[in-house]
Amino acid sequence: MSEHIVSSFDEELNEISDGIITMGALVLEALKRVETTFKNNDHNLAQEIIDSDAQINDLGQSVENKVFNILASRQPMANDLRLVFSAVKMALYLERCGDMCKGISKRIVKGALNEADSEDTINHLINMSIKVYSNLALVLDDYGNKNCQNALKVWRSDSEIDSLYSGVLTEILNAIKSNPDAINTLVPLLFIARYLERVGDQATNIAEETHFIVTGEDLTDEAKIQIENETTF
Amino acid sequence: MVTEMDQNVNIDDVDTKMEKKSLIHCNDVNVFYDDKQALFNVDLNINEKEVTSLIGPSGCGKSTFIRCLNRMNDVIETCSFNGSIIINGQDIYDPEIDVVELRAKIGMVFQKPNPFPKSVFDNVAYGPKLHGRFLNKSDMNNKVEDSLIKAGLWDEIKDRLNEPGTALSGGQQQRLCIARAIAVDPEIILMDEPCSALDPIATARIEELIDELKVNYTIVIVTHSMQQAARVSQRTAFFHLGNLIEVGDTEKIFRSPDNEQTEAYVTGRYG
Amino acid sequence: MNDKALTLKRKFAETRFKIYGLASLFLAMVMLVVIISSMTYRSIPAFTNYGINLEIKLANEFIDKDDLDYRGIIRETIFSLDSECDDRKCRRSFSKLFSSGAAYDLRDALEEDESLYEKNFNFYILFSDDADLFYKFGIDKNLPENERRLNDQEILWLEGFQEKGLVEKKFSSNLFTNGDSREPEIAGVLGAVIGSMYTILITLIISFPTGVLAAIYLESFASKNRITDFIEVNINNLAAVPSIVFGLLGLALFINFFGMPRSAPLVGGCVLSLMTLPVIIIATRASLQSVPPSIREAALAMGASEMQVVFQHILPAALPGILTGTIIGLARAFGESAPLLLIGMVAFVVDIPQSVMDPATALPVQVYIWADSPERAFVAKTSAATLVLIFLLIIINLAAVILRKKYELKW
Repeated sequence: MSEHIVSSFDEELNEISDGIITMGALVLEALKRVETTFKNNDHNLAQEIIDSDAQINDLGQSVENKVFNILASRQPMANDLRLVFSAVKMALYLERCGDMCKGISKRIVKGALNEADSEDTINHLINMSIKVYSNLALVLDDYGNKNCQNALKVWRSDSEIDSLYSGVLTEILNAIKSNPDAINTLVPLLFIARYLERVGDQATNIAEETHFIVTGEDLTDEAKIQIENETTF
Repeated sequence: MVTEMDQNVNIDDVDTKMEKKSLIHCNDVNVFYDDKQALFNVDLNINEKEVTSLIGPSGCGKSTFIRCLNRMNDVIETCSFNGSIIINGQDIYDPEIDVVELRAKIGMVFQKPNPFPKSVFDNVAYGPKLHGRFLNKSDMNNKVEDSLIKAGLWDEIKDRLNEPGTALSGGQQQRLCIARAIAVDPEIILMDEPCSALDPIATARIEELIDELKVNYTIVIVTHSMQQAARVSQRTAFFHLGNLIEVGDTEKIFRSPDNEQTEAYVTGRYG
Repeated sequence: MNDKALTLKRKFAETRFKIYGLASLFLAMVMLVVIISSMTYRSIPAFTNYGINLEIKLANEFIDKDDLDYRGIIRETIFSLDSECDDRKCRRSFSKLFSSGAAYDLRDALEEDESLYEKNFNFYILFSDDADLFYKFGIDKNLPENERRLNDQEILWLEGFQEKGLVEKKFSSNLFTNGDSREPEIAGVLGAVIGSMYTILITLIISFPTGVLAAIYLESFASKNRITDFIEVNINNLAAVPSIVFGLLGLALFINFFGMPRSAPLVGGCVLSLMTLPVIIIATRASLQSVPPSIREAALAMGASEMQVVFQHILPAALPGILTGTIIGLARAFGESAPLLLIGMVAFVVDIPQSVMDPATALPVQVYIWADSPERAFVAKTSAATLVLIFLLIIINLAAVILRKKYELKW
């Protein structure tokens, strides 16, 4: 696609797009750090994750403002309109991811990983976070390249994450049953698992938004199956 | 067994996106100005009782096309027409067709408001008088009032019917031209950039009027503003260099058009 | 520095231009004032006549109303002034001092007021043109008698009247009420004015509808091909043809071929309409073209046919321009004399024409005739007639201005 006749229009659109991509990068960084804290239980690192969340929220607000202005002044159409409209939802999804990471980190700071008995569970959590990280990275790639080539992979992978979550859930519930006194130390782990699963869901939401940007169509279940045939934007 | 609730269902509430009937069928329309071709093999159908907008950059042929529909291009000596335009089952370029009668069924509103240099009343009464209708004075008065009401001008003008039409403001003049056009009860109203010469408030009034008129008339509107096309029309046709590039539901054209050229134009990428 | 010099130069140029403009205007005004005032000055004598009030004695005589010797009565009344004259030569010389129109005036007065038949009444008798000129301008007595219009005896008589206080000067409306005459003192332009009016009427009737319709056809209905272009070129050229050529055409065609009455306003009107037709056609076309095409489009889109568009919209809108052009063309025709000379409207016509078939003359031609006359009194009459002509032309042009203002449409 050629450029707009008014070059500042292109600049403004790029700022929105870049804003989302930057937010995505920050979220991925937070996820990576979460994985590290799972491995080493570094409370300082966890605190850093909590403190960095503000940056993601600020970026989200800035993207919203830009969208507001561009809608009023440029009256974007077609692909521009889809990009601009989706940016708001994308920012929301990414903000939620950031909030999830912050929630995980808060639990860690309060000592969720201190119990040595939970080692198996913690390994499962590490697995989950690796998968979620991978999915999120793939869909953000798609957004950056304006295509849908990773979407199918991400959907398949998300069901794996769901299974992993179910497994962790069962594990923890069984542990609680066998050792009711340990409930205070085990429940936070439940929350952490839940948060990770939610981040995985956001990744699929982002994939759907990207699909809308690229094709202009909302995703039906049948269409999801045909994702492989989508061409580059 | 019909329940009470079923009996109260209003048929108008049914999804209005049902199939509209085609009123104008244009097939293989080619138009030449001497040797220069202005329209190339245009196939376009216009549905009845809805607004179809024609968009495209300057010189793309949309004005030429709309003027084919009421054979206004006939008055341009260098202009020649090829193809068929069928309205209500009749080819309007058939030599047997009386152009005068055709134009009584198709009203036209122009870019620059052009009321006759007569009184407001005489402007609206001209059409019916010309075609020999409402010869009774009170019938004519009623018809003029009715047309001015439909055009949204009656309240402003009811005490000034004898003022010259040219003394009104731009927006009022354009509404007067619309009243003049609908006074002969046309089936189709053609509008060639009707709001180009008007300020935003007058434009908004005309758009409101179009919304009201489309219930009873088939409207074809040429517009330079994509936003206007998005606001008022149900179907949009995009012209470029004399070719019809894409036609479809307005919502689709402005959400995700099929054709890259169309997308380039509506997003402002076309130079 | 450069800018300042340029600005000064420009200002000087503007001031110079303004001065030129004012000077030209001034020059034009001066010329106009000189012409009008000299003409007015020279025409003053035409508006006054010298005459004498004498008592007409009818009471004692037998009056046969059907067969009255008006001239005889006048003669008797005149001779009551001077009883010295015995022989015919003397009496003839004496009566030469008085206007020969006096008898006609007496007849008109008697016909108007029947009671005068029964009594004696005072009657104003005009002097003849020589006597009139004597009173107005005097006479060079040093010239030998046979080189003067009045001999010594006649001068003595006239001086005698003056000494006795019998001579009166009155404003005379003869100029406006009488037809042409050999006698300057009673000659008037009425016949010529009526003749001009009839002629212009014929011109209007022939050239206006023809010209307007021809222009409408050429503008709206004729196809644009070589023939139409040819016609257009010819019409434009005809507007510049010298008017005398039309006179020759009129002579050959109307009088010789068609056998129309010579000197009639009918023929004059035909000839002048040939001259005015191109002017009207050109003015009408210009007016039609000045109507905004948006009106035409609007009317066509409403379903008006080409004819309806022209006659219901374009023509009414173009009317002011058409009327202005027509009146200007007619004003030009009104002042023409050359073509009328050739078709014979230069004859000496005394009677006021009653119809377009009666022989008549036109006002510009009347001026020409009088300018050509030997009698000195006609000098003043010529100037007076010219003033009348100018006045009528002003009226006609004023009508054009008023009509245009009245029918001007606001777009």
